[in-house]
Amino acid sequence: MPINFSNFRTMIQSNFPTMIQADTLPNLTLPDFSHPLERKRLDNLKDSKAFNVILNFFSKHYANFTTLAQIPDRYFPVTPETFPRLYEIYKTACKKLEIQKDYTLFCAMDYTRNAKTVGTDDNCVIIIDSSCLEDFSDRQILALLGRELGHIKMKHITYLNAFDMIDDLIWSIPLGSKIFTPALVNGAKGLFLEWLLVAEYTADRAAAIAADGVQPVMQNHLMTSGIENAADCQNYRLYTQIPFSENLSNFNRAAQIVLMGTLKTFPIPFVIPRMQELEKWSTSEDCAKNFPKVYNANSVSANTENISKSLIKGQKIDLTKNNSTLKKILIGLGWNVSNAENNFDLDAAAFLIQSNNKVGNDEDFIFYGNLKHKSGAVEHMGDNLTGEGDGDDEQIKIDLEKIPANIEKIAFTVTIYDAERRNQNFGKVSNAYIRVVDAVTQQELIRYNLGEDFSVETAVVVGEIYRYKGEWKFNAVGSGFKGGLEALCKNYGIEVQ
Amino acid sequence: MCVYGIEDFQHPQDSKLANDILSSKTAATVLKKFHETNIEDAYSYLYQSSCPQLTEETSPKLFKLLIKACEMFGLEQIPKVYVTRDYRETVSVCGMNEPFVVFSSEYLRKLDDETLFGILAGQVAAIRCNHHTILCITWGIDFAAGFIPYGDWATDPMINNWKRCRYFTYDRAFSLATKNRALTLRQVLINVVPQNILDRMKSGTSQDAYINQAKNFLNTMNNNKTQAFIKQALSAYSYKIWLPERYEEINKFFDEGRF
Repeated sequence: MPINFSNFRTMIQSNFPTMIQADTLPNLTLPDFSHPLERKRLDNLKDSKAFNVILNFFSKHYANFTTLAQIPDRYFPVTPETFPRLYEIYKTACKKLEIQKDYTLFCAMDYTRNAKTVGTDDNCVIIIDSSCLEDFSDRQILALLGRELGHIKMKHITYLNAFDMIDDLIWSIPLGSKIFTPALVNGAKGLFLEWLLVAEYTADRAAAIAADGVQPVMQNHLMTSGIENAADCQNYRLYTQIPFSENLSNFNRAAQIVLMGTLKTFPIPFVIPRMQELEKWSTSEDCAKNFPKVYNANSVSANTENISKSLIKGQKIDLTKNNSTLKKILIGLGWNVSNAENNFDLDAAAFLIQSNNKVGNDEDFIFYGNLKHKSGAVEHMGDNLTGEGDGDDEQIKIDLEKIPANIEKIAFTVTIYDAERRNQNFGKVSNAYIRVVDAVTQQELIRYNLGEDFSVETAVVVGEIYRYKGEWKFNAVGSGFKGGLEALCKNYGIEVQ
Repeated sequence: MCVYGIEDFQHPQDSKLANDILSSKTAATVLKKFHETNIEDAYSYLYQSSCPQLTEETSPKLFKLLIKACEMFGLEQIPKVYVTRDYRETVSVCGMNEPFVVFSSEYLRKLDDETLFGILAGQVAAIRCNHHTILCITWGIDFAAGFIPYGDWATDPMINNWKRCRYFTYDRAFSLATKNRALTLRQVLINVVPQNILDRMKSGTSQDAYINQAKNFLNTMNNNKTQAFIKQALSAYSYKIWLPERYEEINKFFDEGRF
């Protein structure tokens, strides 16, 4: 008996409870957010004869037999009763993207931290992984659902699932490879790949619109691609600023076939260029004009770079590379000494070091006895004899532009004055830290807490700034020395009398 | 810190099979194809663009250990490191002209410093032994299957054998880096048995729960020609790792007292 596809579709639709009520939507005012290249690349794809063969087969014979057919038995429908919070978030995403039609949302038990939309443009459902509910914030879920709704809104679903079908048929059903010969499939794959990338750019914009900013989208991308914690994704630019030597158009057809064949290995193919493209759009005039919330929120998220970064021992971080306006910094050093310890005097100092890892002369050693460098680049703000009170105990000002060219790095140290005679060491010092502050904005940029790893040491190299490819970086050193200031001076080539 | 040359850690079987593969007609065909197209660039680009790259800024501890491993095993160019989300505990070297290391997120999440160092040493040693090139060739052969006629496929059993033997080299590097027999034996069974069971197996101790099983298996193979033939025949079509052999090789390496 032949299968009646239209009956089958009705049966599937009747299994999906209605989720979103269109009458709650405001007037439709959402400006076009599609990537400018999308239409052209779609036209290229539609002009391909091979693509049309694939698309026709998918639409007529295959669409409803995919995951869509299995959904009612395998996944959990999201309703106000089953997942009230998720339902509310989903509804918000629909409103933000002005989605008028009802599309059902399902939850699947899975670990991928992802969502997908299956079916066709006319008849599709969204499936979100349960791991998203465990690991993502509400805004991240909003962004994730926004991405899928963006695909729906821009009518990507049929194309995306049609190409999924190709892989299914070729690898799973022997007949598939007879109908969809390599020549036919490969003819369309390269064009599809080019379209796919910009279609994802568009969907990422939808995600940012739904979440009122790019930060949750970036966090989603990184967490789905392998970064474990949301906190590690806070400064997403650490991952997006890595340059690429290639772009898709540089690859010939054979290489593009390889790309297509390997795409599914990755949780989010091309995630890094996607993040870079989203960042670019979110700072564009188009975004500022049409999506001020995304633009503004992006500015806020951009400022998260200026929220102090907490470092661990040995960690190195750029100071000026991504902050070209940073010219003057303040190094703050702080510590606490047990109340039981009297007469405990700690001193901060700076060593201006040349490429041989030594100071050029005694004047390159800035401390309480030599408060200012002759270049004006380094100035010690004076000795705090007791270390009492909150905030920095001692501060050193640095003018990065005035640092002489022969100085490769400046090491910041803390030593205990007269430690040997007083039988004192860093074992009795707690909460020691170094922080780097933008001297103009007073914004704290970096903080490194030394921890409690010291015992017999009487001097510590807390941190250093150093030149790297024309920029300044900071290194959280945290190395202890026995022998106090004298040992440090010898280490940096200063004769101690 | 000891610095090791290839001869200190590359297993003879790995060395022989690697040479055989690289001098085979199939490998030459694949390499020629790679050179004619920019497939290798596309392959590397896919990782660069689809996996977050870990750097000294994002992962200072990992890089400190990686640099140490590179110094120990004589690798001048520190490889790039990528992470991909996967619930399995995996790590691999990829790329051909510029090899790189790819960790699964689950592996990175679970590793302690000593195991991480051993694993990094294994990857660095693999690069030193040119495993990445052979892996690329085998990947090319797998991918091209059905698309491009490469003539005979007689190299399949040889490649599968090499894929097993390369782990002998990996284990030796792990041993040299950690000098910890128990840990080296334990890591063989990661991904084979669940973590909670692995913790109770007491690998490398007098109560090692796997060692007798491994010995019995090897004895059977040595004494029963039919079984040995079946194993060899099946092995030709699979690169499934031989756990008993790895266990035995590690113990032999430690017993030889090379370090």
